[in-house]
Amino acid sequence: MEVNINNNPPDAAFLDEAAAGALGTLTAPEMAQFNAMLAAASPAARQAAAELQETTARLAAASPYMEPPARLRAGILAATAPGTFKIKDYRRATGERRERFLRWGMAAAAVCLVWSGYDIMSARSAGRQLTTLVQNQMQQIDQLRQQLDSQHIAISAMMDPNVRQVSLRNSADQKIIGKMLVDTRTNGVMIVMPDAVVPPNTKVKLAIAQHGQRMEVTADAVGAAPGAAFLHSLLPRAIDPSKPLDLQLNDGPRIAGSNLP
Amino acid sequence: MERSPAQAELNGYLRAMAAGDHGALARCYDLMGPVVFSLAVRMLRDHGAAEDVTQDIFIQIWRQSANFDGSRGSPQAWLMTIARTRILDRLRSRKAGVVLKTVGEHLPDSPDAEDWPDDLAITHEDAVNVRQALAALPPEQKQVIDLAFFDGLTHAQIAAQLGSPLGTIKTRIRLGLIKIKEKLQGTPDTAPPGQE
Repeated sequence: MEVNINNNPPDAAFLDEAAAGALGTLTAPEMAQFNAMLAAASPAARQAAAELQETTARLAAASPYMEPPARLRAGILAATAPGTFKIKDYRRATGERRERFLRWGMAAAAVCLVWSGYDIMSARSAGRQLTTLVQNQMQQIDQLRQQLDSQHIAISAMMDPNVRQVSLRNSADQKIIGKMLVDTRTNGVMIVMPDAVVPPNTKVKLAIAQHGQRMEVTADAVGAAPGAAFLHSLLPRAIDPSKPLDLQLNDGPRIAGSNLP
Repeated sequence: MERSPAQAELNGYLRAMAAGDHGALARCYDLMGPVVFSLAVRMLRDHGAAEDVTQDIFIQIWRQSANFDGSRGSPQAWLMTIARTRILDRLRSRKAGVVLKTVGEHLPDSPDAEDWPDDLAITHEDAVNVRQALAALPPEQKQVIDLAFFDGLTHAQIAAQLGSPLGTIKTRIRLGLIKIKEKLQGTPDTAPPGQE
């Protein structure tokens, strides 16, 4: 790539590389070489390269328009949610001695399990079975950690001033079966149902209707304490936690939501 | 280059994201998500892969929003550079044997662009202008830009596919891109030396 970088305006060879760089058709070494050349280029040459980059950015408009699925937006927001339920702030605020003790305890237990697993495996030829045992115990520890996390998410959400609570009642007998926490900034919802069990990492179809409008989303089971379910989802549009609403999980019986007194 | 009003909006969102405003990411996605997703579908020809890569792109944008420097280019160019780089990585990392559809398929030549809504960073008018600019190119320049931009081929791959010298391919891409730029600017640029 021999080009004269001192010309002003930029010469054809420079523009060839700038166009290629903008379009991404250079190989990695060629791109590195071009970036070095660009750094030493005249302001006019850099301007020309920037304009080609701007032009390339606009070419996406020649693609046929494709409507992305709603779950994509929700997935991105869920994956980047920095503190929807502020669990870190809660932990920081409370000192979280028990949690820390449990975390260190579990870490120590994990180390012991791995150590003992390793020791026994090296001593016996039946190591494969022991490895499975260790893995199972590690899984149990992980489940315990998930339970603690989900409980703390719910507790910290209740402390968040932006989070409103909605009580959930079985429509048939009006019995309270859980709570829904609504983060009014992010449209995040956490459903806590003490008497339900949903295995962690499973997906649940969640339908919410309010003011005659219904939306369906997928909620993630983010962890489960014994005999309780914690479901989390991001809604595509806001709901009013102070007004009555209807809920359905996996097309099950209707659940009535109302503002928690 | 003329900037659309959405650029200022995007600029604000990127600044807010850099300050940790998660809501700004949602608004940024509303403006640019369908643009990125449409490009990903066009380049990857696979809705599932396009969803995956679009999610990766916006996660990267969220994490790197503080790196955006408005003095070096528009927010849309910064964002689309990240998007294309990610999509190209995905495209080029595919295992050999994956058969793509015919080159140029689904690439609209007609400049009607009725499909683009008006509430995105790329407006209906932008889409019309870009398609008109592409359609106005000499066929050999349009062909190489299609192969480079939408099919993600390198210079060397395009040269091999078309059986043309590498230098010719580079010149065609440069000339085509400059013509598009001029057309989109609405004013002719300084004629670069070495035109075909």
